[in-house]
Amino acid sequence: MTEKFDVVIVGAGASGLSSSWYLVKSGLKVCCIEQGDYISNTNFIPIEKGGEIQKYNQLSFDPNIRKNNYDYNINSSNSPISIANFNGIGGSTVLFSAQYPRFHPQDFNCFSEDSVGFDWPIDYKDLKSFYDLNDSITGVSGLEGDPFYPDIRNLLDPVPLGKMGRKIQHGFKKLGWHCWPAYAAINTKEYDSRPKDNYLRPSNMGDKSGSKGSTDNTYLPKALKEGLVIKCKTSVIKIIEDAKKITKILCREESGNKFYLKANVFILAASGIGTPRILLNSKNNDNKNGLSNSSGLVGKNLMLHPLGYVEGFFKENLYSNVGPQGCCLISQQFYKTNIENNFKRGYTFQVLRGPLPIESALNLSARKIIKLGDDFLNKFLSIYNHTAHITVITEDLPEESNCIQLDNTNVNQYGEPGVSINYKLSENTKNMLTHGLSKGRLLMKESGAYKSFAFGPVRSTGWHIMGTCKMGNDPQNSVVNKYGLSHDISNLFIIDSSIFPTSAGVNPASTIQALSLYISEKIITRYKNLFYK
Amino acid sequence: MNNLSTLIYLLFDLAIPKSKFLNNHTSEIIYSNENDLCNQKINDFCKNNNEILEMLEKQNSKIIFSSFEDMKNFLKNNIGKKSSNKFLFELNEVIIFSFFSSSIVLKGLPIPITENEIIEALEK
Repeated sequence: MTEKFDVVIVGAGASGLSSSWYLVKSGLKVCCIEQGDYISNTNFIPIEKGGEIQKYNQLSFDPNIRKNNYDYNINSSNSPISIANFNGIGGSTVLFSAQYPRFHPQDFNCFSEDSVGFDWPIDYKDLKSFYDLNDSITGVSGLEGDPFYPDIRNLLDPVPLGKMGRKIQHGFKKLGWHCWPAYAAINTKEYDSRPKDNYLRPSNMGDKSGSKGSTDNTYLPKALKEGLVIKCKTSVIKIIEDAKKITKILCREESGNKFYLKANVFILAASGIGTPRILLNSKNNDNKNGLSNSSGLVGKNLMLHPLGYVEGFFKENLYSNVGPQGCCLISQQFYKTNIENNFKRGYTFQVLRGPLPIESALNLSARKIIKLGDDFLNKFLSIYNHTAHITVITEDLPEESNCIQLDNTNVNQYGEPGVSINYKLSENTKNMLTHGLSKGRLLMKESGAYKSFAFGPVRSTGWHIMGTCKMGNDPQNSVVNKYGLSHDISNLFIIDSSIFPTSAGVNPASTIQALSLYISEKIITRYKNLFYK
Repeated sequence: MNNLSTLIYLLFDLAIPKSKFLNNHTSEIIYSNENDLCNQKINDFCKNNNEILEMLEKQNSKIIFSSFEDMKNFLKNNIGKKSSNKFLFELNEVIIFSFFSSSIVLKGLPIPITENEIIEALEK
């Protein structure tokens, strides 16, 4: 028998679980399906028992290394940046670093401000109350009063800066550049019955304590309490459309068993890569280029936030490989367009903690800074905890030639296509990266580093996958409208980062979840007729 | 861990010689590491590089390698730079994975690893 729900949501990550909670608490019968599994605490090996090694198999952010049965193949050979993600309950928030800044108001008006990219069909004011709601569910640490984010309130205390953070903060001050404690989805005190982080495990290696604001910790328990039905290890094979309406979706369990799900409303929340993959793979006689693709833009305008990396070496022990890896300080000194630069828009500096010993040693030996032999351990210990790390997160601008496509040469065990990435850095991004790397090295020098290295784009950093089902008012130039509803299909919404028209220059998780809540509210208020037909 | 040839133990000890921080030789540390992925990596490495390991073993039985550098030079002179680099790359990965995932190492080295040590380090 085919099960029927009011709403079926595909994907239980950042957007899927936040929307699930909003809709199920509003009284709707909601089913959320997820191709990955629950990541229970028992899956994590403690770091002191060698748990870091899980980063190189089941907790790898590279699906081609992880190779779980439910991961689809991704070919990034035509891109300088490879895709990073995680499939499981909580999605990529399971392994995200928990950096949690918002977009700025001007990020929604990129074209009006700087004549590049697009304007969003909504603005910051539309999302403001949903950012606040999302922050209250997630628990965000930081410091109020940031001139770049004057309206953010109710933050938990900032994550400790530590000796390294203070050292770099001093460098920022010497240069007169903006710097502020990072906005982090990390509990610095008990919050909403979730504990304070003990920092035993870096935030990007999964959370054993419940202290990180990943959606499996935040929205999931609340949504389950309200009656959410979760179907994990369940993949969507195809969406079935008839007369511009989705009638059902064909799913497959891990066992291979196939079944249909029916609903009044279908929501795609499968990320900037998973969502277009499903749409392109659901083509039919009337939609030969895939569903919801009359604009031809499904899969196009891929944005990835090319990342630069600057590493400074210090004589003293800064304990810089200790604590939440992704979160320490941010700077938006070079965030806005400056006519003196040879690029438009800008970037955020993030000051990070260094990685754990395996990753550190592999990186240092690959760069021939340390080598096996008599002096290996002494040399390693003279560098480990003695470095500072900065990333340069560049605002990536949309270009149609940057895209994802179905890859029929790279199929799964059922013969279903994987995905190939076709992506190039624009001149604007290259210039921005060069600027960021140069300024980053200057910062290291002013902070007291005796040596620094800078490189980018860093290959394995394609976490922020945006733009592949653009939101807009014009059906010829976008895939969904300003409420996330497909221009082509009357009961299909998209709520993940694929609908971002532009990428801003900050981590997108906070905006993904605020946008998901905003669209969920519109589904209930503006499109309630869909539930009565 | 499966029993491995004495040569591989020698390579481990030459790669990371015994230090003041740890009471054990690297080979003992790696041997006692029960992590499945490490064991699999070592076994795969030995299987894929069987011929080179045999060659090294034969040479070592004649003149014992005095250092990791000594072993590297022998390899470079006998199997060429390309094959030698490939072998050393794989060996490097296996040793780093196995060494730094050992709780003996993580607890023995002067790096904060327990909750108290981490909190203290962050507050310094």
